Amino acid sequence: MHNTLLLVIVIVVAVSFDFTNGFHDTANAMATSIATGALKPRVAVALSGVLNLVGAFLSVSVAATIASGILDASKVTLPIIFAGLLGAIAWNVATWWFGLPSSSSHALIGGVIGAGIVGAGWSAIEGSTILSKVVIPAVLSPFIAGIVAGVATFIAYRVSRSKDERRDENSKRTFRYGQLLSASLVSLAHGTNDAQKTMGIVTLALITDHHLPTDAKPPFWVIFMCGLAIASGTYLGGWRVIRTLGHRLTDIETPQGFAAETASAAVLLISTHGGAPLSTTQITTGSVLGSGLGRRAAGVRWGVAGQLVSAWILTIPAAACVAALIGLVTHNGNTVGIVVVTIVAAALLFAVWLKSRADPVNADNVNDVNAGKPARDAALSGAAA
Amino acid sequence: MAPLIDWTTTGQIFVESLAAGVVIVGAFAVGARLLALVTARSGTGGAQAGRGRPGAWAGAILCFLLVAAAVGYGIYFTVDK
Repeated sequence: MHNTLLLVIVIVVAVSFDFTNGFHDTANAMATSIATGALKPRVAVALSGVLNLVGAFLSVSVAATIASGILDASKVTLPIIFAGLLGAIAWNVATWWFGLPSSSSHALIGGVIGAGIVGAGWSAIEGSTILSKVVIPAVLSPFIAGIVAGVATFIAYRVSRSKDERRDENSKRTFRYGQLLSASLVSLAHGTNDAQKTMGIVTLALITDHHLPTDAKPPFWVIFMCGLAIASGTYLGGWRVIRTLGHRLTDIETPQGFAAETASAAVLLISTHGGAPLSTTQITTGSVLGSGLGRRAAGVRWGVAGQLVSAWILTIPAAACVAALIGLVTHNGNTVGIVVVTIVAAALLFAVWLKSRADPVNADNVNDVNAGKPARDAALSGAAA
Repeated sequence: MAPLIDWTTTGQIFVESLAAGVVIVGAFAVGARLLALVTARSGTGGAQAGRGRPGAWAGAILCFLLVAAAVGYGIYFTVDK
């Protein structure tokens, strides 16, 4: 009886995580298209949402890695999964607040690590797998994406630039249509990649609670539910992050947007095939940065890039710490404790949401870079007046 | 113990991604340039509407088809079989 309640809570929290994953990562696929005006903001998030849902059905190879690679599967308990998910949600919401495109996947992995250490001890952590399958790819993948995007941007300008201004404008407009295609491709890749991570967690919970055999694949309802959660999160749109990626990191024109998105999609689709749980966010950020370097006139704001990288480094430890703290309360499997934590967390999220409405970033002002910057920005620049 | 960095796989991903990125973006850029050649002219020249350059039209269409094929293959390649 108690276990069923716990399982339901874990699934609800997992779906909530998937939702934050969606709105946090809308930027990955759509930021450059929104910034260049290739797509209207609302159309962009709707398109991305639908394609995320479609993408969720394409593949389940990452779901397996995320479930079995991080923790010794025999030591996983529902309270560990619960605390891990909440840690990840906390980090996602915090970074969204500051408009930082940080990795939802790493938040999830960090959360599970932190909760795992508290709940099952250091020995349960698959250290070398984490290093070789998570940390090292995390360091390498943005460079790969950045180089590909940089080269592609360079070629795009080299080939399509024309001295005739009219023709130049014309080909830039063509690239706008190209962006429609490339952004769709990234959304699809995001759906296949990120929706699977929550599927993996829910499946793991079902296995832990003996509703599924140990080596089960995600059942249809899990795939559908996760796809729907990430799609609706995407549709809500993480406008703060979109602004950062679309405007603050570098100035983006349509050929760059197309090159960056194509590079992201290529790296994502090619490496997902191998089942590596890569970070979509880090890859797309690397691509955007690369496309900024590929067009000499664009210029990269290295200060912003530095902020992003420090957020990336912090992601796993920070999510782990929050999850560990929650784990301290919940690891004995006390259902009352878990219900209380869930209610407190929901209340906190609601408070953040209310507060965000005081200084909103939305479809109407996302491209309006000088007005209504995220709170942190205003604080940093000393907000004249 | 497996080596920490699987350079073969990493290198493979890098080369494949670079090839995909360069081919798709390159082909699209050539297509965009050819298309601009035709359409920009029709703007100023009026009646001719690019009719004088069937080669540019054909080239542009070919380029975009190549892009579409590459993208299609990419999706096909992702789906679990």
